[in-house]
Amino acid sequence: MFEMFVGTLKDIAVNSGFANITWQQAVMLLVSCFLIYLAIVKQFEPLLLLPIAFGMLLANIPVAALNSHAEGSLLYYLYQGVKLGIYPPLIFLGVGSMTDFGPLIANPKSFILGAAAQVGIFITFFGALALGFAPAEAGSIGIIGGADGPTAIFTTSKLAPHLLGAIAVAAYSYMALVPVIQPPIMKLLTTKKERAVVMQQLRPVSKREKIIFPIVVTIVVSFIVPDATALVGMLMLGNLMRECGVVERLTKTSNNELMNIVTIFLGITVGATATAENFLTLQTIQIVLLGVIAFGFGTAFGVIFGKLMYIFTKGKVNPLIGSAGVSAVPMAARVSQKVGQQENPANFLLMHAMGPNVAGVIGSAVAAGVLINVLTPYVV
Amino acid sequence: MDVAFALSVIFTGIVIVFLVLVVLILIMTLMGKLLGEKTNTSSGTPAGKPVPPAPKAAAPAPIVKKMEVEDGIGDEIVAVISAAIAALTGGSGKPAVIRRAKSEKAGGRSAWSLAGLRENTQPF
Repeated sequence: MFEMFVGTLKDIAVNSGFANITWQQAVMLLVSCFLIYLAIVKQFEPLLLLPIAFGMLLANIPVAALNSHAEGSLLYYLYQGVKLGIYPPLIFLGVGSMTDFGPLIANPKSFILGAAAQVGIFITFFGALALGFAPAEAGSIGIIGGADGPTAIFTTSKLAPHLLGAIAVAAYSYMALVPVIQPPIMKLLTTKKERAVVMQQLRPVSKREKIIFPIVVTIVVSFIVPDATALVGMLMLGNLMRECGVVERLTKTSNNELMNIVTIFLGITVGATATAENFLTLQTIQIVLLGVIAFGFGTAFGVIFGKLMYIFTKGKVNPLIGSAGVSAVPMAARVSQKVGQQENPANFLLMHAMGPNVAGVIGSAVAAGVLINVLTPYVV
Repeated sequence: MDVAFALSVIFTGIVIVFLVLVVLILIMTLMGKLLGEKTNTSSGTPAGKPVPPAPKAAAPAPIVKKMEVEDGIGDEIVAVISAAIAALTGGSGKPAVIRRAKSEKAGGRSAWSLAGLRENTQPF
């Protein structure tokens, strides 16, 4: 009996994680613990970074084989929602039902700033190609510059699913770092006088305009870029439910329960794609570097177009609102407000910056649609 | 790297993104002109309707201060703020005056500790 007991203990020891861990898995466990620390203590986009980091931790536990690619495991089945492009549009449904497009409807010129900030995506695409990434991979890396997590995940799941972990971590980390990355670029490209511009109050927007807006946007965007329909369509459905005021129960479900459930599934399964062999590569470091370049260029082009609007409107537009065109709602708009108040404490740019900010969400979805359309034939 | 391919993707991408958003600007501007809410005039009368001249009062009426609402603040907001004031003043329009206040005996938990307790026990 004693021999059997000892034998069983031996078997357990041999099959335990301690006996089977590789150094790469150990490093990944440390990385995931660091990301959990960033999510909890530093509050870096905790709603997504926490499940992503924990998914990463689960994926790197030796022997357990609990990652998004391990057929038969829990996370494998949940991951199908990412792989089949289901979760990101559902998150957009919730985002739409929480977003007020009023500032954008009141000042449609903000769309230009939302478009300008997407230039960073395409510049980074070029940079990634130059570093030797395949075209489809380069497109997925470029989309980090859209500063929109669900869009980045949606595009990557279509073009380069093997890079999902690294791109999701880079996208969400940089979105959390928007208040650190953007202000130096904004200050570098603007003068004190420009930053102190006080903008006129926005006109009130009627309920009818708010109801027609999502319908028009869906039709226009989907007709021109059909690949963006899933994202833009769900975003606008959520917004229509919010604005029409007759489906309050559905609105509440989409921006609470549904959004939270999908966020958990999306976060944990995206994190669980980051196994040691996928994540501990030179490519991950390159993606992290290219991600910050994408953010920087997106911000810079938004501000530059803001400056052009300042010139054309004879000083009526504060160029700082241009940086909010990089999506990252509402963080980027808050940064515009904060930098503006440093020059003029009585200046309130927040609502003006919300226009380009929500335009950036539509702009990055359109850019994603274009990239998916052009680069799908190059998927390896 | 195929530079021609890269540049063509970049050019196509940027042009399409701008094209879509410029089309939306045009539609939204048009929509704003057709359906846009007219800003309230300071008299608060609905735009477009001529106001008949008020009949001359026989006796001088007590002067009532006209409410001035800044442009861009919707009627709903004004109604909500007015209702809040009415609720606070008990409908009389006169604010309640505190003549005497007696400080509560210190003891038990502080406000901060009560807030912490509430936050921790609320889910249960």
